[in-house]
Amino acid sequence: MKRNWKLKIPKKIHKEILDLEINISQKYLDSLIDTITNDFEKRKTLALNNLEESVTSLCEDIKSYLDI
Amino acid sequence: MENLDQIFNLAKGNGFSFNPDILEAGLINILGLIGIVVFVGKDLLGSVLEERETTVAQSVQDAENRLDEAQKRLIEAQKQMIQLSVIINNIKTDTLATKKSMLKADASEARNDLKFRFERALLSFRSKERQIFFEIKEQITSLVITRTVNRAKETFVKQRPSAKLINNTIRTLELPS
Repeated sequence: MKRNWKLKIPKKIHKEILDLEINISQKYLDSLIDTITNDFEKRKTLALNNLEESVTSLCEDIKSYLDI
Repeated sequence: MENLDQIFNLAKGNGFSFNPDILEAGLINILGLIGIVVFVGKDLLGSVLEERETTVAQSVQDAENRLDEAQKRLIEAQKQMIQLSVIINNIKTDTLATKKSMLKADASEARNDLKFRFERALLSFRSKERQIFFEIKEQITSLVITRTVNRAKETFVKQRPSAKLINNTIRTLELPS
């Protein structure tokens, strides 16, 4: 019984520490993904607002290619 | 007692002095009494002393036996203590090894869990990246096609009949670049 006690208490503490570390890591990952997603959205908006030049260029290429 | 008083003159009130008169002091009586006591009590006293000697010797022997027994028990107890010490050390070693293995198992499980979570985050990140890329690409394609179609419609409206233009276009598209 005493031996089991000696084994169970450190195991429980260690398990709690590991769970804590995992939760902290998960929060860090969630925060990182949120940051990256927001950055992607900003870049997407910026790219969609600056498509004119690329679209025009492509249209000119197609027009010249199709000769219309 | 009377003889002793006669020997040392205690009853006369003249102090304590030795009476050298053998006949008056009764010394012969005393010596005779001692001789009778020694003669009579020799056998009885001898047997008592022998019995006492035997008892003392037996007691000494018993004590020595008990001492030997106690020493044997002490040696046995010391051996058992050494064995118990070895067993305790083995138990401690086993306990430590078990602790280490259990903690390693927990750490491994936590590591795998973290790895899984990181991989899931990476997949989410890549999925989002791909989704945005396709959205931009779709938007570009839509805009270009819309403009090109409008431009083609304008061209076809201006150049009637446009069969020649269509044939030229198809031929152009069929040519290798």
